[in-house]
Amino acid sequence: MTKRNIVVTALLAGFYLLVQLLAAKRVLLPYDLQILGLICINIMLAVSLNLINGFTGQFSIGHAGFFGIGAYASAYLTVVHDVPFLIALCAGAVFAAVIGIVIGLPALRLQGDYLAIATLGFGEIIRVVILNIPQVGGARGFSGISRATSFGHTYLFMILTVLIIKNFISSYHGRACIAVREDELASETLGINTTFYKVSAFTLGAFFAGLAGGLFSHYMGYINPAANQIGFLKSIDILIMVVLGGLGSITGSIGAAIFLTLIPELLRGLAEYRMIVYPIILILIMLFRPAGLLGGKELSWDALSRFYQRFAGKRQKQRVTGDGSE
Amino acid sequence: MELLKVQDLDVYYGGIHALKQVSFTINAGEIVTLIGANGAGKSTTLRAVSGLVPTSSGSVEFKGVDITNMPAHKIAGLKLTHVPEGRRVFANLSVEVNLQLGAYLRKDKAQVQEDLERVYTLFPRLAERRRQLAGSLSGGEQQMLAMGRGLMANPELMLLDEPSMGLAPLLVREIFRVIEEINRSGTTILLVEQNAKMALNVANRAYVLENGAVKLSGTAAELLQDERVRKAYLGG
Repeated sequence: MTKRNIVVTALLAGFYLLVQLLAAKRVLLPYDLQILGLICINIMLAVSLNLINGFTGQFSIGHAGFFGIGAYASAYLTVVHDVPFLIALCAGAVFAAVIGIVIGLPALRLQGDYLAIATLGFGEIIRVVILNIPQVGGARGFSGISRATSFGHTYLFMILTVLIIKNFISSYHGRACIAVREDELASETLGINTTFYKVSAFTLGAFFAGLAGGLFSHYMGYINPAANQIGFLKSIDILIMVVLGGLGSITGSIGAAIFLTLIPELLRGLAEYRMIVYPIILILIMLFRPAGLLGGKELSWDALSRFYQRFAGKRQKQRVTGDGSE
Repeated sequence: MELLKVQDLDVYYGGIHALKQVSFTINAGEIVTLIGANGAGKSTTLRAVSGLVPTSSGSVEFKGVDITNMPAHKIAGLKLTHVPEGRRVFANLSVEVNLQLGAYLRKDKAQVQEDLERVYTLFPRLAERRRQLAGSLSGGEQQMLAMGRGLMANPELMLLDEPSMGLAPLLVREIFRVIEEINRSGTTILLVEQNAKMALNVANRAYVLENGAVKLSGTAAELLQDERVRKAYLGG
């Protein structure tokens, strides 16, 4: 383990302990804790969609469908079949990944707008199918799910998701995915099996979305097949996080997921007006940062220290010239 | 020895008959060029050979293996590398990563490192810009990068599609110098060019395509003297 890894691990563990401490002291109320959990779930969704959209360049807008599959499949297993929570959670994610392959194989033959529309369609099909399964509550929603997910679960799985996707991207296979994004035909001439990598990224993304879904249904204890839960409105929410944070930037997705989950809560004081202010903020960000908050770049210690040095250097220079003029 | 053997190849784009019974061969160590006007089927021929477009009849044989309609990424694995028209470099990646991706299929890491140095010697400008994003390079540098990336696959046969397109005369000469150098070090080359004069000057043999069919063929020296070729492609 390098020194940096130890520092990062310590910080992550420290944050968890701090949250637990504040929760025990009643400084953080259950409501706050719930928002923190939702942030973790949204980070999982944004980072996994970024793998598909940002790194592999396949514009998918049906991500909430996989979230829904994971949420319902795992809840069905725990409620109807009494399967232990963690096993059901993994089963739900695997099921979402399998559906990801089934949908990805035909859909990923399409490109650009066509792919976007096809994935939107598939996402809606998933939602409507769930809506029509009486065993999981149909349109009434699925209630009575044990609230087995704790903040610790969401936090741990969020870290695992980010870690796995980050390692995947910097691997040999991740590089192939990025090459596919940059130029599919050129990748093919270099021997990269473009179909394989597109479907792989799609499947991996679906897996983590399914995992997030299982965490979500067992966090809320209830889920329903509404458009803003597992339908296209939710897909658009996730897409906004990815685009706002920057396509191809994991840290950007994390930042945007935190920001966009918090902002409706922070604007709650504005009552009805918050749904006007919120889009205005989005429009302003897109006007001034069209490539997303971080563009394709990553926020890292190196980048921060470079920025600090440049900033400090500039101030030093100013002081020197200031002295000279006196 | 015949390295590539193309027989009676037919390609359709929808209803358009783009290649009509095209046949040609390439021997190991040669530079062969396909010349012809816009839309004659030169690029389509290369794409059919490297598996980027499906063929409807005919056969392509490489090193004695039938590669007709094999997926392009598998053909690339046989050391047949296509450097596509329009450069198609990975714009948001650095020059060095572009070159490394050229060696995507290779497992011989030490040899890859050696080839990287070789590409940098062949194109010193790429060495200067190794950390720069490929999209920020000039057109000529991008062409060098595309060829360098192709070389990183250590190909036995390299298909070059319009390497001189849109480049200044000085750079065109540079590119052709490198093509000859690549060939001297053992790579067979199939070159598609609009600049017929330059192409015939470096090539051993040539085929003239017209409306998707082979009209003429012969050694480059013969074709340079041929009255019809001179009239149609060499400006009198």
